[in-house]
Parts: sequence; C-alpha cells; structure tokens
Amino acid sequence: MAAAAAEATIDGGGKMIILISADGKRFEVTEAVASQSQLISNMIEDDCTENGVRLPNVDGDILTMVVDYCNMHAGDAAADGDTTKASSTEELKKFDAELVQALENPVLFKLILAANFLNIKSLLDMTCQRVADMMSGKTPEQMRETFSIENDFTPEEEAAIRQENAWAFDD
Amino acid sequence: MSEATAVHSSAAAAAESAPDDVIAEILLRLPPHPSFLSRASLVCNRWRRLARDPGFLRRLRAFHRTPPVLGFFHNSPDLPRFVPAEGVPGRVAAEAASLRRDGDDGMWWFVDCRHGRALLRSRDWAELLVWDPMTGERRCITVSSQIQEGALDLNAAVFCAASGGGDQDCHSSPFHVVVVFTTGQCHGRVFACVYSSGIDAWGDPISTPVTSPCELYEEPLFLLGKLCIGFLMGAVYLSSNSATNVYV
Repeated sequence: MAAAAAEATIDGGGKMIILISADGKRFEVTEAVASQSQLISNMIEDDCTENGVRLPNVDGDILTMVVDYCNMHAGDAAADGDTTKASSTEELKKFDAELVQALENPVLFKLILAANFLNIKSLLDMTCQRVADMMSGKTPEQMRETFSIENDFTPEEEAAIRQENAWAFDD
Repeated sequence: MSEATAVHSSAAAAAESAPDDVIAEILLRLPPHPSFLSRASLVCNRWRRLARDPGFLRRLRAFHRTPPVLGFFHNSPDLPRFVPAEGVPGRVAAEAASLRRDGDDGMWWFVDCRHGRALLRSRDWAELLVWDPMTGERRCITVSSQIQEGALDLNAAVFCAASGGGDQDCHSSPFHVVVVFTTGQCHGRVFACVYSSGIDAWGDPISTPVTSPCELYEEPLFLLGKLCIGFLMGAVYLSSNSATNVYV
C-alpha cells in the first residue's frame, strides 16, 4: 500500500473509497470500513476502486444502512485484544440489536440481499437470524403471508407433505 | 397501483428474489427442533427442496452441533411410553401410546433407538417392531428361529443401512437390526445375527468365544463408527454393522 500513501487519506490513515448506489447516491468511506465487504476488499486488492465502486443492485437507502453498519463495526477486526474496545462492544451489540429489530419486510430482505452481494458475513448472519426468528412459531400459512411467498404446491402435494411430517404440525 | 399493492409486490420481489444460498442461510438459523424446519418446508417447493438437500442437512447438523432432545421412551407400563421435551408436539407421544400388540402382555418393549428409528420387542423376543416415530411407519419382524431356539440372554440394535457417517437421510434408507445373544447349550460363546430390511431376511448367525461366565447386559448397544459395541459381564463385545461381515 506504500504506493497509495500519497493519495487522499483521512486521520488514522487509509485511502478513501467511493461507493455509488443504484440510484446514484455516493458514499465516501475509508478502506477499513469498505473492506468489511469481501467483494470490495477483493476489488481494493485488485486496485480497481479508483473511479468509485458502482453497486447497481443496492439502493441508496439500503446502502446507507450498510455503510452505517460498516462504520460502527470498522474497529472490530483490527481491535482484537484492545481493552479500550470493551465499552464499545456493548455499544455495538445495542446498535446491532436496534438495527435488526427495526427491520421489517421488504427492507430486511433487501438488506440481506445487499449483505449477500457485498459479502459482509457478520451482517448476513445477523439479518438471516432475524428472518429465522420471525419464522419460528409461525405456521406455513403465516410464513407465506409474512414473506409474500406464493404457495406453489398442489393441494395433493401439500396434503402428502403434511402427512409425512404429521408429528410436526400437531401442537 | 395503490400504495399497499406496491409495498406488497416489493416485498414479494425481495423474498422471492433471494438466491437459494440466502434462503438456506435463513433456514439454517431456525431453532434446532426439527418441527421448525418441517413447517418451513411446507411454505413452497423451493424451500422444501432446500430443506431436504443432503448438503444442507449436513450443514444444519454442523451448525447446531448437539441434536435437540425431543423426549425419551421408557418401558414402564403404568406411565406414558414417551415423555416429550417441552415444546414438542404431542403426536409422537400419542402414537407411542398406541403401540400395543395382540397376545401375551400386550406390550412392545423398547430395546433401542437410533438413526430416527425405535426398536421394540415382544416380551418373549419372538417379534421385533421397528418404528419410525416421525413418519409413523412400522415394520414387524419375526425373529429368526435360529435365534429363538435356545437364546438365553438377548440384546439388539437398529441402525440405518446407509449410515457410517450419518449424512444420509435415514428415514428413506433401509435398516439393519443386529441381535446379539447367548445360548444355554453353548457356554462361553456369544452369537450375533443381522436382519436386513432391504431383503427382509436374516443372515446366518455367527459366534465367537468369550470369557465365562457370559451374561449380556441390557443397556442399549452403541455404535462407534462401523462397530456395534455392547457389554457382556466383565467384557465388551464388538460387531461390525455391515450386514455381510459381523465380527463378534
């Protein structure tokens, strides 16, 4: 990275990366923040972020959340063993909990798709867990309704599957 | 288009446009009790396909590590035959209570439970019942006459014929039942005989000498890799769980 040292940096070092959402919103973040996305981390390694990173399948409002998340978590990976991070670990947990609790469809799924596309494992884990939590305790009908999924089983197929799993449907 | 319709169609696009690996990530994180995955698999064809994929099931086992305890079976005739863990649907308990047989004491006695199947016996060991508590499927097996004649102590185990790693879907696989026994005529030897559901037949018994006195313990046999392990008085015996090669 020595060659890049002359380029724009902020306090604490690190080159700035421009992320551009599908609707043209621009977000300026440090490499440390952007590198939480494995996709962008690979692009940084390949030196192809010079003209900004276009993310044609991530809307601006979703990218705002992703950038907020990555800003909050930027210290995570680098700060292992740093005792001054102890208090902020609590802050992070609170931030994460508030972020996922506030999410409902369709924003939740859009955030999952963005985390999947950008390959941000911790965000994908957290948002997928939120959907799983929403599903638990629901009947198949309620799950379809919650996630707007069409029932594509024939009545015969559905009856056969219910029979096969009868023990699971008898509460 | 009304606002409500717009939101609805947008949500549909979001959930249904999620690629398979994302849906799998979500299904992986359902609570470990299998009824959650069973319900999710009834949502649509794609979810069902993903939830039944062998690779996914391997990941699921690795993700949750310790399988959930659904409850336990026991042989007391005065109590419910299946005691479910908290939150477990009552269907298994109801079906366990219905496991009655004609003749003698009317009881099927639990012998073993493994790979999704329970093995029960009549009081006199003349018949065995292999029962899948999840699907309700039952198979009654007449114990080979070679075993019935002269067997003194008996023990038995059921296991999935496809097992070894336990990665296969045992419910749809054939199974084996191994019966280990001693006889009154032949002291100092222990015998084993394997039933294979695929061909619905018993193999020939084989035997090996053991140190006297020889008395089989009633504790369930257990499998270690390909070996079936049980306890004799003062000794441990091993037998291979392959239907064709049994070493006692």
